[in-house]
Amino acid sequence: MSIGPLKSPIVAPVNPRLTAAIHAAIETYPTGQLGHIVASMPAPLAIKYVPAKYAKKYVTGAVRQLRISTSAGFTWGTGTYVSPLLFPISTAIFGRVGIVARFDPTGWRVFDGTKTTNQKLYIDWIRMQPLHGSLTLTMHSQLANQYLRDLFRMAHTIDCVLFRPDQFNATYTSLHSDVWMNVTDWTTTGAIAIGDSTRFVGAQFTVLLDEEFSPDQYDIERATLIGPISSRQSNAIIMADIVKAYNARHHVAIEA
Amino acid sequence: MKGLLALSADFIDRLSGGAGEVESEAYETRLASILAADRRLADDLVRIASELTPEDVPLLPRSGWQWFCGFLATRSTRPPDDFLHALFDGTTNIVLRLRTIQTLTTLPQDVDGLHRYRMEHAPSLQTFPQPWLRNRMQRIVQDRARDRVGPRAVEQAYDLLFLLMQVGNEVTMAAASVLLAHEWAGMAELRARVAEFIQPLDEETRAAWNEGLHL
Repeated sequence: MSIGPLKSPIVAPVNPRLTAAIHAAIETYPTGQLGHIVASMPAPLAIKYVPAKYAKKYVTGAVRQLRISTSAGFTWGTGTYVSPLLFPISTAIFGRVGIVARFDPTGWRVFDGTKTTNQKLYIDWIRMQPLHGSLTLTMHSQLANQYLRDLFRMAHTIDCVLFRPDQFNATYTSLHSDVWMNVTDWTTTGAIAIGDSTRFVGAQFTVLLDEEFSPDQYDIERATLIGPISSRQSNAIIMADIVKAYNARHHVAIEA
Repeated sequence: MKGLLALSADFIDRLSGGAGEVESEAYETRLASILAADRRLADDLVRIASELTPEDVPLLPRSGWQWFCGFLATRSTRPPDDFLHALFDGTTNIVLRLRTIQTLTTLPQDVDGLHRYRMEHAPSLQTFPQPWLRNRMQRIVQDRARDRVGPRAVEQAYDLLFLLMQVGNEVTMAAASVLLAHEWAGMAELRARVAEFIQPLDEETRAAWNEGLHL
């Protein structure tokens, strides 16, 4: 659920018409692409892949929540990064162990960053920032990007950003059709929270992938080290298998 | 107790992205299981934070402090003001300075304090409710010997002002307004430099900034 009006929103001015355009672009679920995505799944489910080395606590059930990502390197700032289960192996490039969790997007304010018109709105918005020059020219661009994207999401109370993958493997990830999500947890004053995400519940080890990936020099492409061994099944079939396993509290193995 | 923080420095560095995103994610998961296994750990970290002094800034890397302040914010607390002054002064990195100001202005007590203050006071630099910002601004403008308030003070005021404008929340915009309204030797120059920023903007945005800063 959306948490409603926040106590201390960002109030620094930008052009009022730009603000209005951004607000008009933000869709409230179930309107928009997230609505279509969720309607295409048996339930609102998301998946996050974790390296086996660090997945034990999920496998044993000791950890049942997803963590909010805080590293500056993530595409849309601080938040919980997942892919909707409709794209069941899109993020498998990040680890062999798939954690499935439920979410309730009712009332979420969604910024669809897959649309070029919306990307342009964000770019126009950062141009209007008082320290735009310094933030653009700093060598610490990851920190600046994280700061600006967090601020943009706070300023417009964005619960969820949809975006295309910007890391990929040709067998697992489609740059043109897959959608990834960054979901915001809020503090009571409208800042972005960190720690356990309250947006996702019932996080459960559900997928074990028979593949290892190796990042290239800039971690843009992640090459498979084992497969492909078998032909890839459709997303719909894989999703159905994963949902069945999740509901039965089992896991499903996916061949390389 | 603070030694625990020093012992945790590598862990917090990796948690905050010092070894890349995948490692950071893994350390988030590790932290979750550690916090679940030791229910007192979070309270211990809050207690350690309350004891921090300016000399403790080297205990963690800068990005580690950024993470730690975020962690403390989830418990509605933060390190003492003198520590945060040292953290702010110890870096020229603009993002880390912006994050420090966010840390100081987004807790419920900061926002509630501003709302209460607005009901009871005409805003002024002397009575501004957020103590860290009040002290910072007073330090810049307090020199009564006007001939000693030279370009450096105006530069400091300008830097702080634009950080406040960039953070852009209720508390920082209120602070920016009182700094601009305060009568001191550098007032005219500071306002002139803000005008240089606002003047080239389109008419609507200019009007919005003038209104937001009470110019």
